Amino acid sequence: MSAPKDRVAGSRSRSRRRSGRRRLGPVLALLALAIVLGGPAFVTQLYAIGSVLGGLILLVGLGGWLFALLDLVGGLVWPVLRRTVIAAGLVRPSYYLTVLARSAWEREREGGQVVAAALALLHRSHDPALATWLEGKIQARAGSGLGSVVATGLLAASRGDRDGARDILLGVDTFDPDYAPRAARRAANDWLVADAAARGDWITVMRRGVQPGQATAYTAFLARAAARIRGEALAGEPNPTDLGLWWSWLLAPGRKAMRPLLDQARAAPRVLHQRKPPPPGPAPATVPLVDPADHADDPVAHAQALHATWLALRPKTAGQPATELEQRLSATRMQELCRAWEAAWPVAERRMRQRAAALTAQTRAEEALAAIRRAVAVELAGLARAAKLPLDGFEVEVATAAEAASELRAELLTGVEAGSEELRARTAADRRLPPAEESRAWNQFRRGYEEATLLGGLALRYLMFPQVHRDVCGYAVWLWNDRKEYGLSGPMFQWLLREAEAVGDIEAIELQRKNVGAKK
Amino acid sequence: MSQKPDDSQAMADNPFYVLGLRPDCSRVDVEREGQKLLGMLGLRLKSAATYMSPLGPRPRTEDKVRAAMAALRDHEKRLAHEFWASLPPPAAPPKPPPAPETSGPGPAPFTGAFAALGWRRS
Repeated sequence: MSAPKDRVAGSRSRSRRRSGRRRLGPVLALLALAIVLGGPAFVTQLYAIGSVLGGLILLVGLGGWLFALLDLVGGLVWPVLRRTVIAAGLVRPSYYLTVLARSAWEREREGGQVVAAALALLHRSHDPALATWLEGKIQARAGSGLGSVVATGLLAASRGDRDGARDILLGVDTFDPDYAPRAARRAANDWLVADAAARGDWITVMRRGVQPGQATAYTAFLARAAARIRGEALAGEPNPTDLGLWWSWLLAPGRKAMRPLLDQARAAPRVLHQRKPPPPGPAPATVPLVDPADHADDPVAHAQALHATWLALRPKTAGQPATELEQRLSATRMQELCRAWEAAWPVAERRMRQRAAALTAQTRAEEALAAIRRAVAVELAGLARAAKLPLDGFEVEVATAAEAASELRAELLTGVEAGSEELRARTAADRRLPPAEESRAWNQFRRGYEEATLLGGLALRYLMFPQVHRDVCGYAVWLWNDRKEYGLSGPMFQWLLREAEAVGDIEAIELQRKNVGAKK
Repeated sequence: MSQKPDDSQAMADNPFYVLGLRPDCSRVDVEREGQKLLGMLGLRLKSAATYMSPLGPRPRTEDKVRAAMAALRDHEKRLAHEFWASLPPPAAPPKPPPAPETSGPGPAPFTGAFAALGWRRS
């Protein structure tokens, strides 16, 4: 099929050249006639026109060089593209024009292109065809640099999957800054701050909004306004003044939408000094949550009433944060619940025996009760985990609390071991994931491990570290050597070094110091 | 309606709450109440559409009613379900425990946060 096409194209170009010559002939003839008739005056005019045209060409050339120089020094092209082509929602032009933004995407030009296209996609109503096109461009990239991760996160946001987008974009924090272009980190941070503000998570807005290297005028204004309204200082800067708020607002995009927030912040009093917390008074007596008098003759019903109160606060869907439970279920409340169950067991056993005999059940009452005790322990462990209660908070002398603590410990340990084993198996089988999924898988594992160390303390950390070190080190080495994913694997070595130092593993510390010292 | 030890629905979907019965009811009561509820659900009567559990109101479906009747016919399973139904169903959902006092609350959620950046999709 190619030869006929070439022939057709060749004959077309020849005919174009012939028609061009035909058009040029009369023009040249007219010019010659004008010179003969006009004389020297016409030649002077022609010279003047030529000079102006030459000057213009020179100006354009110089302007181009100046623009390129300014871009090299201050990264001019990327901001201009963000305010024009990307803001207009032109996905394909954004993708191709970002080739010009060399300085903003020094090591990751292709990454910049997919991020630009994903940002443009957010500026328009979702177009599945463009999203699929962009997805193809992301997958066509061999490496999983930060650009691919950010673009995948923004693409998920464009599809309306905010939870997925948040999960992917949070992975930006774990990238080595040396391999993470600032423009990509800023784009991710803009989305994360906007998401936190939309959810009313102002603590995250204040933390991320002024983070060096990632903050933009938009995030800085939101952080300052939130700090002023909450009467708190930001990291590294005092509570903002009225003038400071005005200035931040003027620099930020979307001023009209953010005006009510500016007014609310200005109306809040400025806190010049953080108040010292008052000295702790005597611990207030914990008021029983369910009045024991309501079930005076039935400790089983009392325990179940308490249990139901806390179960009702659990998140309704998987993945939803258990903020309410976290705020309300304290260690004291957990002790109250465990003690209520402890008081219920003797009565429950007596009752089970009677009912087993009445129903002529083959299961022995003790066996049935053991299964129920286990179910209660598992649910108590689930409540404690959702409320972020550490294992130390359980009273080991209360049998129900000890069982719940044991369940929680086993659950945390099993989760980390399974995650670690999964990383090891993927490394051994050279099973590669798409760019964003690789970062997501690592972040999920890291979060699970950090949750286990937070709740389980140093004892659990000692127990988990040898396997985690072996598997994660192998995984990071695979990413570094075989896949050249320096941005992702570099921070893994740093993380392993921190963990090794925390548990005092001399051999691991030496190995990770060497790994951290190695640079491409 | 499984009886796995980690079944978190032991209370919410307890057959006694689904059928609106107490643990001391007879097998005849179970069959009669189950058939009555199936008839009501077949007629789409609003009064049968939900039941109250200690975790709050729950939707009642024909499948749930049939599963509850089957579970209570089995004496081994009924023994465990009787335990989880010790608490009479409350008239109202459980009251949330008091929240601890926190320092100054932030502004209300900023719904225009994405639009301020010119993003139509979020």
